[in-house]
Amino acid sequence: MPAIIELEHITKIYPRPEGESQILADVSLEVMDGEVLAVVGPSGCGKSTLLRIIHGLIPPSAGVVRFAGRAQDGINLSCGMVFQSFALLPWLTVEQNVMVGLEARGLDDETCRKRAMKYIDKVGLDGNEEAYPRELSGGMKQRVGLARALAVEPKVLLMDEPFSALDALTSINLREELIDLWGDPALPVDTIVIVTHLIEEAVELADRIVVLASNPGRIVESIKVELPRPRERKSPEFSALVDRVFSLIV
Amino acid sequence: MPIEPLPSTGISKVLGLCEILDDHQGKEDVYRLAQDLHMPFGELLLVIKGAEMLGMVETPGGDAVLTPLGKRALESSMNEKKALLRQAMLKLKVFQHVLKLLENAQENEVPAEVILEELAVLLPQEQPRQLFTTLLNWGRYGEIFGYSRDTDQFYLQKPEKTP
Amino acid sequence: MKFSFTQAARYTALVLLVLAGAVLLVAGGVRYLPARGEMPAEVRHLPVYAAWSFLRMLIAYFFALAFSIPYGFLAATNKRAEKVLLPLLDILQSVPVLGFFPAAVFFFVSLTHGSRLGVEMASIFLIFTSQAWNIAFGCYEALTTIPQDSFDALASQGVHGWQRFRILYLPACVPKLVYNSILSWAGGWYFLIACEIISIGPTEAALPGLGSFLKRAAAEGRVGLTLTGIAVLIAIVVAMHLFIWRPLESWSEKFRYEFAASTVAPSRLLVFYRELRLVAYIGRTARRLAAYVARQKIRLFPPRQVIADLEALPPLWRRIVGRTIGILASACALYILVRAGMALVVVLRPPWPHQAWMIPAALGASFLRLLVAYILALAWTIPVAVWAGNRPRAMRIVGPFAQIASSVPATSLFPLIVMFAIHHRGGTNIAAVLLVLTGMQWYILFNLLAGVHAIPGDLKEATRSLGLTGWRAFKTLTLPAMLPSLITGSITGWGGGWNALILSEYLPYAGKVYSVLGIGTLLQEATVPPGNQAMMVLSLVAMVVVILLLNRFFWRRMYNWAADLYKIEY
Ligand SMILES: Nc1ncnc2c1ncn2[C@@H]1O[C@H](COP(=O)(O)OP(=O)(O)O)[C@@H](O)[C@H]1O
Ligand SMILES: [Mg+2]
Repeated sequence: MPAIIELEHITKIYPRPEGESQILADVSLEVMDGEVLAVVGPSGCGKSTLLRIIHGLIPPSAGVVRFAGRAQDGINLSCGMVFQSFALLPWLTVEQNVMVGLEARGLDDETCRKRAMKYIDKVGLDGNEEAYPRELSGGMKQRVGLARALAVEPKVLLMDEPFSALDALTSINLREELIDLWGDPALPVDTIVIVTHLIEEAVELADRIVVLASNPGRIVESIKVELPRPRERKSPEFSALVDRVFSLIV
Repeated sequence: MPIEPLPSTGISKVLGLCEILDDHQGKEDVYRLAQDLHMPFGELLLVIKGAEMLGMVETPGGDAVLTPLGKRALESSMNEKKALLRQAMLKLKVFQHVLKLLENAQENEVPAEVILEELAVLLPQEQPRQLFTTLLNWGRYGEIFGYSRDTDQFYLQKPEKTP
Repeated sequence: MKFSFTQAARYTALVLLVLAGAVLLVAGGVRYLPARGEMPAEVRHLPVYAAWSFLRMLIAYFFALAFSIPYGFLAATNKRAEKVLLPLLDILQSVPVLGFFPAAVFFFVSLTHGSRLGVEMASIFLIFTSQAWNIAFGCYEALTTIPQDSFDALASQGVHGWQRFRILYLPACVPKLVYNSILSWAGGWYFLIACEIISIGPTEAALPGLGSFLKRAAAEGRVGLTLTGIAVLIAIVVAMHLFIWRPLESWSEKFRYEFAASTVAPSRLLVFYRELRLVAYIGRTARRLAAYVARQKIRLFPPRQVIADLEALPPLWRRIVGRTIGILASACALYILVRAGMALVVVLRPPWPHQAWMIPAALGASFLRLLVAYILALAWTIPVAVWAGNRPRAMRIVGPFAQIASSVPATSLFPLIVMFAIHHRGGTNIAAVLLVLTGMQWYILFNLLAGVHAIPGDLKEATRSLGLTGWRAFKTLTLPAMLPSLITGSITGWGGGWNALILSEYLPYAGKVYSVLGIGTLLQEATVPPGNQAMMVLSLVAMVVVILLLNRFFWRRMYNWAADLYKIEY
């Protein structure tokens, strides 16, 4: 499996009134084509920052991000991103929210609509096209976020704590549906980087887990998850792995 | 038979509940479930009530038990799952009532206010706004009816598209 | 992609169409229009005057929008521009309407050799100055509070340039734009009196309009006529409130970020409008027409293409184009500044007029008047806000009432105040304070109402469950919780007060002038033909400096202190 994303010695420094603060220190990481990579770590350790650097939303202070072998400069439009806060525009309907990125790519109205409908359908949102975000429950909102990210048919899906703002039942439902979606061969995206602070979520979803430590943010360990799918959340192997990752964080 | 009101809960939660029950071999004590999930007991009861009305869960003696229908929903694809839920919703009196109202309306749509008034008459003990929201959210999921805020119209969804 | 901007635009267009129709009908009475130069204040001219004033306000408002949106946009999105534009806006806002007279006269009147058109443009410019700054601030504020995630989400989707402006910046501005427009129109009506009579050197040019009518009627001491004029003004304000602002406010709820329940009750009219078949028909036809035009590849307004082209330029070129535009703009600004500076030097060359030595005392006296008015304002607005802010029904009455009341140019009420006050010792002073109060109190009330209304319900309940009532509840919860909005209201209220000052200290009534020592009087006297430019500029500069110093060293500190201590975070 070749690496699709390579991070080489990534450092991020933010200026602060009381001096500079280093958020990420010398992070090197490869994301393999077709894998699900989970990034876990304590809150504030720089997980979101790392994800945004991968996407090119913010530049690293030092180091290089390579995508498919090429050094990247600016936003990488081969990535789609899902946000913890959903980040939907409240004045656009579900369909319009999903179409935003398609319009930006200059597709004509008919194609935009068709493509948006396809992904709205895939995430189970059909019937909600005309709804505004504020009419939807949290779970439905995040489905819109997911459909929007998928609609641009990215190579890599980046997810920043996508289920953290949801209640336990909703997040389980969405997680299962994400796994189903990922198993769908018709879906162009097969590489996922998911940031989470729930270890069980990481163990359930990921092929590999990267554990970050804080102050400054750095990689402590990278763990392969060899459990067979579908994964049994109640199995002893599952619990053992959860415990192991947990011990690395604290 | 009196019309049963919809509990104010969402379909995602109902499906999540089925998923959890499946993890527990299809059966779990409701009180333990609330503790495990760190969920307010009252809220969990609403979810269970919703799941029960849709025939996905049964509640004999303080337990929540996954029904074969619930199990089937978990194993189906997205569109099959939606079809299953649609069938289940259409068995409910509230849905049948609103459906008939829409079918008889001109162009199969009515102002949202009409639905609100109808709900207030059908279920005088319930909060019509809240009921309206739940009905709409379920109905949208099952692609039974829709609502446009721009025109303030409630309408029947036409089962046109087959993916 | 449409998100019902079209709907609002259609609605507004419809209302304006109806209003314009009314104006045309009335303008049928154009034969009543007096010849240029004479402006009889008679009831039969009122409709024509009202129509003229409305038209002026409308034109000024469109210019204010056209100015404010780009201004706020630039200040909010460009860090370097922000450093210049924001303080500049601060200064502009503290210059009273009269302060723009010289500019208005110089640019519009003298350039057109004193023609009617020039005077009209000057008047519209003055109205513009009472509307624009507030809207620009609103835009800036709305844009700077867009959540970072929204930017990230759009960037992630590859949205930029014109599309981003259309789907993010513009919609995010809408609620503030609507709300501040209401305030701006109120401000415009309030100062109309000062905007329709323009002194040019030794002469005065009066335009046909409600403002000049009211001023004339008052100066002649005709109370009945004044009251009739005010009644017409109130009728217009109420009509606009019912047919434009309420529906727009209700519509603008859609563009709010917070997902909390709305505080604005849905407007019956907007719902009614949606159901109107004719409107639906017009809308459909317009859409078809638009689609047809689009198919013909006629691009009336191609910013999307222009921006795309600009963005497609190689970085070097883009930088060169950007730099060139920047340098040209800076050069223009510099030229204007230098010319203005030179003019100032000429005007301010000593010897200064002997009245100049009165400026400090005048400022002091004016400040005391403002202080008294401020205390009076607090004395009644706080109880009213506490009472109404906790009662949604009362809110629904007090809010619109205050909006209407704030639009009435209270200066036109002065025949009544003066009649009452003149016979007492210090009567003119009392009148001045009362008039300042009218320019100050509403801003404070608006902000207090919003502040009290925003106190979380469970806090109110907790206070009650602890057995706190009356004064104690006020002291422990309500007062601290509304302190930030009290201070915001005070800042805008004092701004309004300084502005009103120039109309409050110098009262021409029934052929006589009643005036008290104050900066407003000095300013007014400087504009009385034949005019005294040096005095005008000196008092203006002194006043603006005092306002800015007060803002910087008193109000801003108060605000930071209150916001730090008493902000309720959820
Ligand atoms: N724009 C910024 N300026 C300064 N500090 C920032 C900025 N963005 C994030 N930080 C800081 O970087 C650290 C890591 O943030 P983040 O990546 O969001 O952590 P995580 O997602 O792991 O919780 C935090 O301490 C945060 O305060
Ligand atoms: Mg984070």
